[in-house]
Amino acid sequence: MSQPSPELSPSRRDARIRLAMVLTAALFLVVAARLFKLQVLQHDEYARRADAQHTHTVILDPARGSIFDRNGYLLAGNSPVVTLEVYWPSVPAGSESAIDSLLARIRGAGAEVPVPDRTGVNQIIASDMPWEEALPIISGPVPIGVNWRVGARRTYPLGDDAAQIIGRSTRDCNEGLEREFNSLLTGEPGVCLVERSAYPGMSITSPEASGTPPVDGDDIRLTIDARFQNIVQEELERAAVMSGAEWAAAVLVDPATGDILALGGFPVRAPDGSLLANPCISSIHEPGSTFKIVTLAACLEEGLLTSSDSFDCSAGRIPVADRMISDCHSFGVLSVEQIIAQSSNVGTIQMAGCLADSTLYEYSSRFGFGARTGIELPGEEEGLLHRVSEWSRLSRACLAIGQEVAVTPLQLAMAFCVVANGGNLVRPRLVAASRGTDGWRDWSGIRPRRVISEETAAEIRRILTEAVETGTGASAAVRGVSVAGKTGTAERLGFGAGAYLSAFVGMLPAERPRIVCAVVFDRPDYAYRFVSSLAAPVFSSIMTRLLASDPSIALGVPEEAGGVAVLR
Amino acid sequence: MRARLCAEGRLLMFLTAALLVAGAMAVYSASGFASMRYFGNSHHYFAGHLLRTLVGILLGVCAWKIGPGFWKAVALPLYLLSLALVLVTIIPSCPIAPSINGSSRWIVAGPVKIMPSELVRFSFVILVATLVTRGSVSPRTLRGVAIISFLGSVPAAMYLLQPDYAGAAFLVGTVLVMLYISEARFSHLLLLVAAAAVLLGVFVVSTPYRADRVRGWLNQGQEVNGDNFQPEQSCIALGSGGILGRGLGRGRQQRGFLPEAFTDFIFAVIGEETGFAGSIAVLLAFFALFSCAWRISAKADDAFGSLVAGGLTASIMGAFLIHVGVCLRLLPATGMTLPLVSWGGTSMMTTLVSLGVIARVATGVRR
Repeated sequence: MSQPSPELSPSRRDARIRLAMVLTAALFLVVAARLFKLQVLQHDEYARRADAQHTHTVILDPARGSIFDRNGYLLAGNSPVVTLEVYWPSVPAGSESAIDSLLARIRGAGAEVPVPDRTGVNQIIASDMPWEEALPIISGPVPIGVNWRVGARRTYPLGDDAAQIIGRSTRDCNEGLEREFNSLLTGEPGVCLVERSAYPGMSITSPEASGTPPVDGDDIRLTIDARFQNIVQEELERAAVMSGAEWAAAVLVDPATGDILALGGFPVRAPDGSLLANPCISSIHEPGSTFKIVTLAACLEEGLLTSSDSFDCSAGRIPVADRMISDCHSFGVLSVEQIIAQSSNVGTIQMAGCLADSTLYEYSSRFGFGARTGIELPGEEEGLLHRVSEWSRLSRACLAIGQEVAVTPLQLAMAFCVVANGGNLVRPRLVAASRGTDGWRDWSGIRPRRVISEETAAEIRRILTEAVETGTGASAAVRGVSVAGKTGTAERLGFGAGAYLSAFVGMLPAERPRIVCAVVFDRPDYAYRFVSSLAAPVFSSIMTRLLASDPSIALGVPEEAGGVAVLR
Repeated sequence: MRARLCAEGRLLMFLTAALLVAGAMAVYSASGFASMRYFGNSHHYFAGHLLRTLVGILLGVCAWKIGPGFWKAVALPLYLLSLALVLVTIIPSCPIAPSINGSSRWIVAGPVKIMPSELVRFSFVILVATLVTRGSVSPRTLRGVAIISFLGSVPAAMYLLQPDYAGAAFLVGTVLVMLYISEARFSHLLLLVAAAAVLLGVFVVSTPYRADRVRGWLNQGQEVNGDNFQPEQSCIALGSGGILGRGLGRGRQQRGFLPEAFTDFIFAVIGEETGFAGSIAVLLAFFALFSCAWRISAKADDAFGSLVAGGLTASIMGAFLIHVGVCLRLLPATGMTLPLVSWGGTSMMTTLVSLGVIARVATGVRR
C-alpha cells in the first residue's frame, strides 16, 4: 500500500464517490423516465410519424376483364402499352444527345414526340406506345433520367362491328356492356406498401408489408356470335347505304333461350365520331304489319277464330270511327290465313272486331310490348303501349295493324320468339357467363312466361310460313330451309310524305325455329319503301350467309355414326 | 499476477463483454444500409468494427496486466502526446486533419482515423491522478485547483478552435469530476462551475449554428425541419419502437433518416429495434457497469487507483450520458459515440483500455 498524500483523506474520497454513485443513479432514472415517455406513452404518435415517412403506398391496377363471344373469341381485351417519361432533373449535363436520339427512335417507331422541355421537371415523351414498338427501345440501355412504365390499353378485335353492344371503356362513353358491367369488369385495385429510405431510388418492398394484391376484373362471355355479328353489320350497312335509310337494325336471337346472337345497328357512330346507342334497343317506331301476329294470336288463342274463317275484304277499305283505313289493293274474300299472308289491313281490323279492347291490350302486353325487355344494356327504351282507358274509338283498329303503338326492334324480335319457341316470352340476354376468381359461372336466365299455347304458336308459324311462301314475304325465302315470317311496312308519321319503315321478322327452320331475326330499315328512299325490296331480301341474305357459316341452324347436328343429318 | 479480480471486477468484465456483443449486433444492423449504399455490401462497417473491437480488447487486456507504475511513468508524455495530436487538428488546412462536417476533430492517416479528444480525457485523468498522488499538486489548495484546471483548459481551448464545443464542455466536466474525487474544496468547485457555465454560454450564443441547435432542442415536438431534424428522427426511432421494438435488423430509421445511425445515434437504433425492453436492458447494463466501476474506485487500495478508476468511470459515463441524452433529446444535438457499442475505433479502444485500467485497480482491492 502506497503512502496516501497527506492532505487526502480516504474517508472523504469514499463519501464523495458514494455521492457520485447516487448522482449516477439519479441521472439514470431521468433517462429511464424519458425512455418510458418516448417509447411507451408516445409510441402511437411516433409510430404514426414513422409510418408516414417510411411507408409509401403504390396503387396496383387490376386488369380489366375481357369480353368473349359465345365461342370464346375475344371481343374486348387488354394489350400492354408503354409510357416513357423524362425526369429532367436526373438527366446528367451533357447527355442531352442521348435523349434526342431516344426521341428520334420513338419518332421512327411511328409515335408522336413532344418538343423536349429541358426546363421542366417531368415530361412524358411517349404515351401508350404499343408493347411491340416499345420493346426494342426499353430492352436496350435507356438514358439516365428516362423512366418507363407499362400500362394497359383496351383493344376491340372486332373493331366497330360490335361497338354498339360492347361500348367503349372510356370515361365519356355511356353505351354498351363496358358501361353496364363496369364495376364487374374493373375489379378491385390493390395496394403495395413500399418501405422508403431517405434516399430516392433506394426503396424496398417489405416482405412483411401488409399490401393487398389487386383483384382482376371478371371476364364475361356473351351470347353474341362474332361471326353472325359481322355478317349482320355488313349486310345492314350495305343495304342501308344502298337504300338511303336513316337507320337500320337487326336482331338475331335464339328463341328457346333468349340468347342474343347478334345485335346489328346502323349507323354506329355520329358524324362527330361518338358512339351511338344501339338502334335495336333505342329506336322506337310504329311496327305496322309485323304487329298483326298479336291480333292473330289473340283471336286464335281465345278460340274466337280459326285460320279458315274468312272475311270480306273486297271493298279494299274499312271505315273506323271517322276515318278510312285501306289496303294497297282490294283482295276479295280472304281467310284468316290469307289475311296475314297478304297482310290485309281491312281483314285484320275485322278480325280484331271479334276481340274486346282489353283482350287486344292484354295480348299486346303479354307479348312484351310497352315494357323493357330487360336486356343487359344501358339506355333501353320501353316503347309505347296505351292503356285501354286512354284509347280513342280508333285505337283498337289501329293497334290491330300495328299503329298507335311504338316498339323497339328487340321487342319485335322477342314477340316473334313467342311464336317460334312454342308460346313463351323469354327474356333476352347478352351475358352467358362470367369468370371470377372461382372460374366460369353461368348466368341463369329468367323463367320464361307462357303467352300462348304450343298449338296456337304452331298454327301461327304455319300461317307465317305461308306468308313467306305465297304472300308478302316471298323475297325473304332462304334456299334450302323453310322460313316463317311477317313483313311490316309502316308510314312514318311526322316525317312527311313518302317516309316509310320497312321491316321483316322471320324465323327458321319454320317447323322448329332455331333462330329469330328481325330486320328494320327506317325511312329508306321511296324506291325501297316496299318490304319485298329491302327488309325481306336483307333477311334472306343474312340468313343465307349465317347458314353457310353454321349449317347446323338449318340442318341440325350431323349424326356421327350414319353421317345422316337429323333435326334436333 | 496472482491477485484475483474482486466481484465487481468480474461483473465489470462480464458486462463489458455483453455490451460489446450487443454493440456489434447493433452496429451491423445500423450500418448495413449505409454500407450497402456506399460499398455495395452490408458488412463493410461491421467488419471494421469487429477488427477495432478485437484490437481494443487486446489493448484492454494489456492495460489490465500493466501495473500502475507504468501509467505514472508515462502520464506526462502521454498527456503531451495527446496535446500534440489535438494541436495537429487545429493547424489550418493540415492534410492529415481534414475538416469533416465543418469541424476538424479527427486525424486521418491512411486507414487509421484517430479522434484525439478521446485520448485527451484518458491522459488527463492519468496525469491528474499521478500528480495528486505524487503530492506534486494539492487539489485542496487554490493553486492545485488552478494547475489541474489549467491542464484541462489547454486542450479545451484547442477544441474551441476545431471547433468542438461539446468536446470542450465534456472535458471541462471531466476536469470538474476529477477535482471532485480528488477532494477539491466545494467553494473552489463552485467557482469553477460558474466560470465554465458563463464561458460556455458566451460561446453558444456567439455561434449561430450552436444557438440553432440549442433552439432546436428547446422547440421539441414540432415539425421536422433543418434545426431539429436529427433529434426528431431519433425520437421517431425510439418512439416507433414501442415496448418490444420492431425486431432485430428491422429498424427503418437507419435507412438514411438517422444520418449517423451507427455512431452518434446507435442508441436510437437499439431503441427502435428492441423497444423499451431492449433500451432499458442496455440502460441497466450500463448502470451496473458504472456502479461496479464506482465501487472499484471507492474500494481501491491506493489513492492513485481510486482516482484513476473514478476519473475514467466519469469519462466513460460522461460519453454515455451525452450520447443517450442527445438520442432522447434531453441534450442539444452533438456527435458522441456510445462507449462499447458505437462504431468508432478511438472511442472503442480508449474505453476498453480505460476498463482494463479499472480492472487492474479491481485486482488489488481489499476483500
